[in-house]
Amino acid sequence: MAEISANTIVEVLQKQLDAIKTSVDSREVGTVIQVGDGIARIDGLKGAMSGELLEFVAAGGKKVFGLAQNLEEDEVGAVLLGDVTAIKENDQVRTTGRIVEVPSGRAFLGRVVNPLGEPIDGKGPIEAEGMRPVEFRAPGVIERQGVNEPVQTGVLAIDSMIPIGRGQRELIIGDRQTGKTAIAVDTIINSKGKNLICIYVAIGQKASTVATVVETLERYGAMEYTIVVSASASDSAPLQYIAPMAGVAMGEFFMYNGEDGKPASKENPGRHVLCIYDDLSKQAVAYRQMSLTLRRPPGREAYPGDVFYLHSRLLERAVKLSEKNGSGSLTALPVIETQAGDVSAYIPTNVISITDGQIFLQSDLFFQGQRPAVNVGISVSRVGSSAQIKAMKQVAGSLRLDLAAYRELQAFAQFGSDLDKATTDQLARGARMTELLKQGRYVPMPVEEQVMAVFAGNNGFLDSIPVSDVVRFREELLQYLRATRPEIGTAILMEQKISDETSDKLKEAIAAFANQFSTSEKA
Amino acid sequence: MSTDRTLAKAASQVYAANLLEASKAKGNILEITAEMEQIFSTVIGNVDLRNTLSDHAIPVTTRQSIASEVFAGYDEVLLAVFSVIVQRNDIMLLSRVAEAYLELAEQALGAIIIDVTTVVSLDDDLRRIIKDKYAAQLGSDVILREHVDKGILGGIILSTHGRRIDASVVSQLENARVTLSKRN
Repeated sequence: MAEISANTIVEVLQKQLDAIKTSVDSREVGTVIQVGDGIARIDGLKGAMSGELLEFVAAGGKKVFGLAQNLEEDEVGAVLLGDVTAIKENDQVRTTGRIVEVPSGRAFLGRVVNPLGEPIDGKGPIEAEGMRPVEFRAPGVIERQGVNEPVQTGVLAIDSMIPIGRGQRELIIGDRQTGKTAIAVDTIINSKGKNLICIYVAIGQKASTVATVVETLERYGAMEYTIVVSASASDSAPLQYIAPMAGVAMGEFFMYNGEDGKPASKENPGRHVLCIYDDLSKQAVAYRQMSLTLRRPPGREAYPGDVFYLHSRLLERAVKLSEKNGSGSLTALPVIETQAGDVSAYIPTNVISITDGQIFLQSDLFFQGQRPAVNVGISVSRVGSSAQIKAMKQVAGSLRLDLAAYRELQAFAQFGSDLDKATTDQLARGARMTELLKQGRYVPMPVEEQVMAVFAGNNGFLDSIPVSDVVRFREELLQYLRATRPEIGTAILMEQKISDETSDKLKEAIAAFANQFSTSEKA
Repeated sequence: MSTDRTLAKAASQVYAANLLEASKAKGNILEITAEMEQIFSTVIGNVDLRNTLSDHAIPVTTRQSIASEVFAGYDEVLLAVFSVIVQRNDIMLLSRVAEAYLELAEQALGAIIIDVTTVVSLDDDLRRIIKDKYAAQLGSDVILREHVDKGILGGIILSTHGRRIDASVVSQLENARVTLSKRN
């Protein structure tokens, strides 16, 4: 702790006293004419701006903030943030000339906060380094550059076939209980030591679910580079509505500033941030509730007409900044929950069209034991492959097509038993490669190990292994390579590709391991 | 109540214009302005009263008698207009009527009405200073409606047409409290 001297006290006192405004406060005032459901209708405030922060003064002097939403001829419709019950009819409302801002800074790492940036983890106040506007203009074309660095999720099925780049927007979509949050949490855990700050925004979830996620992140040492923004199901609709924007605003602080907290530039690079919005379907529901109570006209599925714009302006804030702007990035992983696999509903189609690809999780795969339950056939990543390391491209380049061909053959093979050897081999390889992609929760795999595992499958080392032993083979092989041939993994990581020399060494090591591997049954 | 904006505006103008004619005749334009605002504030601030006065299930005569009992002692012309508002179920137009009446009243008086809140009553000197200052700024004569509120501790609060200039001691102390409680 810094030493407190008389000089320090004088300096602080001077600064605070200078900050006291003695000038006359001139503002527009209005009167609350109706309040309920977190919405207030205000008479007056003719000069209020859309999205402006309004100050409600309750009887007894308590101040509550609100957000101006509907600007009408005689009145303003506003949503209340904070203690909704304190505001009554006839209370005074003042304009502030500001828009909603959230505190941000390095001290927020490791903390759980509400969408207003107030700590809710009981660990005391947070010292903010500045305020960031909740609504902020997304960078333009000139300020950006192409996605060129990978976000390693540590999930083999994703990193090999649906790679995500830093600055990309990749949707995680699926029914309830298909492992959407698990992928997000795995990605956070795998980001340790990879210069990636993670923001996990929980919207409309049970507080116990959020507590479980926080507990998991703490257990794996991931909270030290993570901020959790929580607007749980019991929070008001306006708080759930601003939660993703508050999360991205906190993330932008790191992207637009260097390690020292000063503005990012070529010399002072910005940081890399990963924002997970879990989930945007609930944010859309909260926004629908707000809009209907504000009496905005309902559109498809009763959502307001601007729900697309709500999501597009949020996701446009995902960016890979140009070198001049510090090369920082903000990757967005929005989550959408579908109902009975219906991706043609309004919100899923909207977010699918906004993002740069989607990871589609399916219940039937989940219950078949294929976990993570990623349907690699319909999952895509539109920009991520340019960020994939060359070694992964070498081994996984054809994996997607091979698996697609396998699924097609598998469907036909069900109708007949007379199959030629080539087809049988292809089916056997496909079954093993599918099995190879299975992975447990919270066990992310480093990229070099992913490369080695897929390499083993591609080169036929799994063909003689029974399908039920494939995962054990992979685990033991990687353990063997870590223990006896660590130079192979290091070479892949250093060179970012599989050279002929590394390829030979890897084949030799895998063959040696395969010879000593005991299967649980005869192949 | 009409949901059409133009019709609602026209209806409010009719109520306000008739009220002004009557108050002009009686010579109590300013008093009616204040009473009109009090009625508006009471109706808006009391959900039960507002719902009762606009409830179709309650006979019109009952609603009218409730209105006249609640606001007994107010100017009889104002009560008559308010009774018609209740009868025609135009309670939600009250804010527009109050605003339209204020505009018409200011035109009729040739001056702008400013509410002044102080801790003690204004003396003639201060009254003149405020009037001169705002008459020069607004380019029109000024009528002060004076209020005394010990809660503001000192200083002055001026408000007109939804704009409020707060130079009260209580606000400045509040600003100081917020600034000093901010962490560096």
